[in-house]
Amino acid sequence: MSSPSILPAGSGNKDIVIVASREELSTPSRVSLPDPEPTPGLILADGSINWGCPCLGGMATGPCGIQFREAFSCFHYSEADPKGSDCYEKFSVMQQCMAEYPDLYGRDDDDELAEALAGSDTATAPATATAPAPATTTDNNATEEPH
Amino acid sequence: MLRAVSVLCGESQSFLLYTTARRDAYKLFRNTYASASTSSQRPRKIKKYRTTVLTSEASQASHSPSVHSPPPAQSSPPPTPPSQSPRRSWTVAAALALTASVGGIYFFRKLSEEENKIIPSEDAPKKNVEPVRTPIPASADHLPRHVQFLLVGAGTASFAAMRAIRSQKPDAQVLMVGSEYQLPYMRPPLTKELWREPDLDKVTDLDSLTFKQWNGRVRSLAYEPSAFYTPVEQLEERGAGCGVARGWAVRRLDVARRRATLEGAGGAGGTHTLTYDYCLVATGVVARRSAALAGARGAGRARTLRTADDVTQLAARLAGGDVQRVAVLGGGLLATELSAALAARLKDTGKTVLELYRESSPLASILPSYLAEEAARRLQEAGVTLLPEADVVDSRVVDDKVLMRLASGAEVEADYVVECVGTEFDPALADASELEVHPELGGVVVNPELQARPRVWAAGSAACHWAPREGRRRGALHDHAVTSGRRAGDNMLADMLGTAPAPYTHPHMFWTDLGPDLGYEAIGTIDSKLKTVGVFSEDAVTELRAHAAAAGEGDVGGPGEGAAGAAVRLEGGAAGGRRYERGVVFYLEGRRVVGVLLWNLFNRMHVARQVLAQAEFEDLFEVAKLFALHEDE
Repeated sequence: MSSPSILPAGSGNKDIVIVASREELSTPSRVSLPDPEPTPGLILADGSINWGCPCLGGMATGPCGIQFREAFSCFHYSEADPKGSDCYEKFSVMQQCMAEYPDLYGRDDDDELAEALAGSDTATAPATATAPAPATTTDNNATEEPH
Repeated sequence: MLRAVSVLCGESQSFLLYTTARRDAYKLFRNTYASASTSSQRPRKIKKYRTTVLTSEASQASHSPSVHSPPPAQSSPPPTPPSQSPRRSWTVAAALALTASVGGIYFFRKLSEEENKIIPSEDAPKKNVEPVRTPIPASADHLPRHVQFLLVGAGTASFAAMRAIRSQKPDAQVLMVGSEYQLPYMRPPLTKELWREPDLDKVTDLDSLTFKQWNGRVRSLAYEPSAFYTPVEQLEERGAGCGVARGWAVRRLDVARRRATLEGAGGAGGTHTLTYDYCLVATGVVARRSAALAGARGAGRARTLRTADDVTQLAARLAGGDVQRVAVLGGGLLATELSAALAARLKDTGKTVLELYRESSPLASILPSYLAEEAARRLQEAGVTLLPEADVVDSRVVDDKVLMRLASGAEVEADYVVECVGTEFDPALADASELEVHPELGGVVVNPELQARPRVWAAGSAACHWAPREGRRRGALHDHAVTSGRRAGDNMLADMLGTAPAPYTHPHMFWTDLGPDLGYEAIGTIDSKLKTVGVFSEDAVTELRAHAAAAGEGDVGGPGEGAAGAAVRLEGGAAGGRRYERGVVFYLEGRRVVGVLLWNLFNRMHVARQVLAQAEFEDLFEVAKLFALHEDE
């Protein structure tokens, strides 16, 4: 295997360019890097919820943030069987709050719902049965929030 | 805003679907799986995700090691709704088991699909005719007398701080004060994706601006819609929430008394004094103006580009029949990005884009010369006419044409000029508030924890912070705004809770596109004055002559033609004479790697971070192997 070649580039030899074949580049590196620091996800190593996770979007910080957190905490820590079945009340409160902000939480994309339902296997049959017709009559015109 | 909310609980094995069956709305919570192990799930071009505060790290989370132990797998029947539920207004469905794997993460994805395109919104209030705009709220009477958290500025750093604060303290009361009239929005699309919106020139409601991501998803430029925020006039009585005062500016802080003086940014609305518990200065920067363009500006034929308002106004201007050739003055990141974006937009209109700059190549201050020359060729292929070594010393307008006089004595003609000659920190608030401003770099001087004074922090491009080895610096890019804003928010809360603040140590990162076929991202100190070592796969490097021959076969993007005039062609330029398709470049200080540039190489930023963290290596070729240059995207 030939060794990588070094091309002159730029002035004053400040910049070095190394060109190598794919074979050379694909050989195992002699350098090993430490594992990256884990980026905390929604659930931390100790099992607690990371409310600062960017993955939460505006859910935890928006106008129904408190209600969302109570409901999601309840679900996450629920030991009921089925999990979360002791959280109806909290989810109900959350949903009441969300209903006040249709612009923010107003309508789900129909495809998204369909996909979710399809992906949830047989267990979602009841939801399918009770899902509303596509919510085409919702808040398309209600994008202005009164101040 | 139409929003599907789905919860993905990787490894949790449980699936919970809550669906409201309301007439007007339904919500969906969904657990699905996010495999923690592979990079194959990561977006093909992860860089595109960085355009938001919110998902920038979610994408990283998808390849991080497992961070929680999965609850036991179980498959459960749908729970029965409470029998007393009068209207079956919601249904809980399903816990579902899938395969178990060792670790995982909860991954909550916000899928926000905006169906509303940019709307010309003829019925929206017009605000483009020399307005004395009305601030929001319209009168100082509606501003609170006291707030817990005062965030001065309503840009990305301020928004990220708000997120950090309210995610830890959901009942926090936050007031953001911004001099613009829009809701907080992200800036990277202003010189990128927004220009692909056909109706950009007709937009009047800036809060409705949307753009299309690389994957086709339409996103809102605003971080959150209006409904997310608490109306400012209700902030005091509610005691919690986040309000955004728009068209307002903080003129002075009395640090000792924790008081802020606000004034309508346009002179309307009056003045107001409020007290705060904690304050963040995140006022950002303003576009620098070229003194040589005063003549063109006076005639309404030159402008800077910093805000969403600037973008729509420029788009409207360029749509006019009197603009055939637009010139972009500057050779930096923004100028080159904008030149490429404008060329793509104007491609089939017969209108042309000229970029002129003092350097010999665009981006010469950050890229090693051989890559700067490659960038120049890419820009030309994208349809941009380049005029290097152009030092504009004066301008005048004759017969509706801008005539720019160069130091060489030559004169360059354009119908309109965009000034992209950098940004600068406006010290007015800091001076009035007796906050120290860095004499050379600008920005409020803060300690490593981003604090300037008791109860006062600064973040984003308004902060001049200190970091080990790097010393004092003032970041100016999006990623820095996000991470420093978040850190400042965290540290303000730490102060409130009596816990220890953490230093800001995040290396600066950016990404950019130059036309359709070249994107690059970089982290750390990216300065062309440094020594560099670049590593490329041999089939990613072609001699220019061979390439020129191949161009005849049609494997190269559009020709660099399209504009005549004074522009100088760069083909066969001074050094190099090679094309570079993909590779990695290390920037060195002594033996230390202080910066890593990924040239057309995506999804490897996490490797670059680790390389920066270790910094010293025997053999950089061995380090380059870690970037899998031999693998195709």
